[in-house]
Amino acid sequence: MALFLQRVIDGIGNGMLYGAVALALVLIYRATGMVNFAQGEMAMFCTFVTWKLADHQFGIGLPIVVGIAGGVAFGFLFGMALERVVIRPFESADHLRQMIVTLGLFLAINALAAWIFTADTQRLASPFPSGALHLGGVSLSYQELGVVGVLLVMALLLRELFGRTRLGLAMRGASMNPESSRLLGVDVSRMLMVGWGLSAAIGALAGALVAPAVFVSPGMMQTLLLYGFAAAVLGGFDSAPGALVGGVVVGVTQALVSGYVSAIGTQLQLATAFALILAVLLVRPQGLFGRVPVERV
Amino acid sequence: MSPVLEVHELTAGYGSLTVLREVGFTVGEGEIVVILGANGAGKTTTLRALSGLIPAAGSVALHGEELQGRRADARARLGLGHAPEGRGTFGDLTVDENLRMGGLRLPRREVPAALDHAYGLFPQLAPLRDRAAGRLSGGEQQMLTVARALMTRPRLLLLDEPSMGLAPQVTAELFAELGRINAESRTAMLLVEQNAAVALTIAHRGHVLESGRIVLTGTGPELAGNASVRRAYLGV
Repeated sequence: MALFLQRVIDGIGNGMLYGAVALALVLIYRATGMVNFAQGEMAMFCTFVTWKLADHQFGIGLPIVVGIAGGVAFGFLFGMALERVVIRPFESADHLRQMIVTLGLFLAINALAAWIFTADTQRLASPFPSGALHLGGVSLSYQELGVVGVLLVMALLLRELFGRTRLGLAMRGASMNPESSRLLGVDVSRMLMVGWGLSAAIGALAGALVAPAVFVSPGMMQTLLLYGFAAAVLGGFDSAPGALVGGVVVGVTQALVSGYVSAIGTQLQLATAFALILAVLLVRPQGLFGRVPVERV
Repeated sequence: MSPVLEVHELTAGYGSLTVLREVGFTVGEGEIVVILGANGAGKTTTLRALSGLIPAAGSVALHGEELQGRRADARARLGLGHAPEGRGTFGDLTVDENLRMGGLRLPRREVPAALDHAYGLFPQLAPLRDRAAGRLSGGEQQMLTVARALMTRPRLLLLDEPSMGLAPQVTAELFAELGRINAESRTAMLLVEQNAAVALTIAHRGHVLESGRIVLTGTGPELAGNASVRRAYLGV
């Protein structure tokens, strides 16, 4: 029983990270209808910035919490700049061209990171203490507890932003009905830019939280992005709470399947994410929390 | 005193198709002006060109300030309210949130009073304030669109076919409300309608649009008494 609980807890810890990546994907999808394949690479680039700010040997050597804050702030500006320069010219293009643009961004950012920061693997310190809490045979690492806590706070702040502030309302309106929003004086382009900034900032946070476990390298977010896609599809690509719940379900499923099905082990873990995506698309294409639009006529 | 809206030689269309040809008219302070016309005459195109939703040539001035060259959101911030055709509500937002979208530019402390005012104008919406707009009936959505446009405190309100798809009783109630709003707040309105019978009950002046050109102009009673208007739009 203790082993089962341990695997569930480990799954929740990883799943929250998948959920954070899924949330970043969902924010952009809801705002622009665009699936951003470059989300993981944007997060990776921001994590390199965090590393440069915090590393004592190769960087400035700021405290890790300050470094993460700097990386997240950079992510916000980076996302806004990408929207303004790269995405906006394709705002009214068809989905195929938009998808190609984000795939191009994926390659460009990956190459840029390797060129600026080199392809070497780097170590980023954790903002949380090492060690663990031990409760009845189950061990809860401070890293896992910290990740879950930070991401829960982030989710609550986002809920407040979208549910209670004028900026959040304007962003929701602009993504739902751009023309009506313009007729009410909303600068829709600016709202989309802020949406990209927010999404990149969330990715930057997820990157900094996962980096102590996977190290910082140009390929560090690629697996996480796939799990993020699985989480977003499972939760519903248009549902922010669904993204987080989807992440946890993917994380727990992955931990249990790889733990109890010896044929899968660690090598085939990614295949479970793919299987989950296929199953959800077949059985419930809108995901667990996604909505099928219903409108009275 | 300059008119609220002055339009000169407005020409607009979609791609290579010209729909509106050198149209000119004015809307005065506190006035309701109606543009009548059949389907495809250019009524909606007129409003979309005025709001900056489609490119147009010619001159459009709001209280003497030229609007051409400004984007739709900038025109709205200058006081051009627009209740679009087909309602244009935010289907997933509640009624209250839809109205708050209209009040985004108001000082925060004035929003509660503006909401109360909107619910006062359209009391049918008050019990529905927490319902998603996409689940309202056609008439309720139409009222919501007008109330939302009024939340922006427009200097001129553009109304695109507010009677479309509504039952006659609901249409009569909505137009009575528009007449009351105009009488009480002196909000100028430019209304485009196919339903001439109901539109002419509240219009001070009007124009008839055919194939993108104004072919007839007069006061509300003059148009209501005009033989060709009566034949074409009133069915008598």
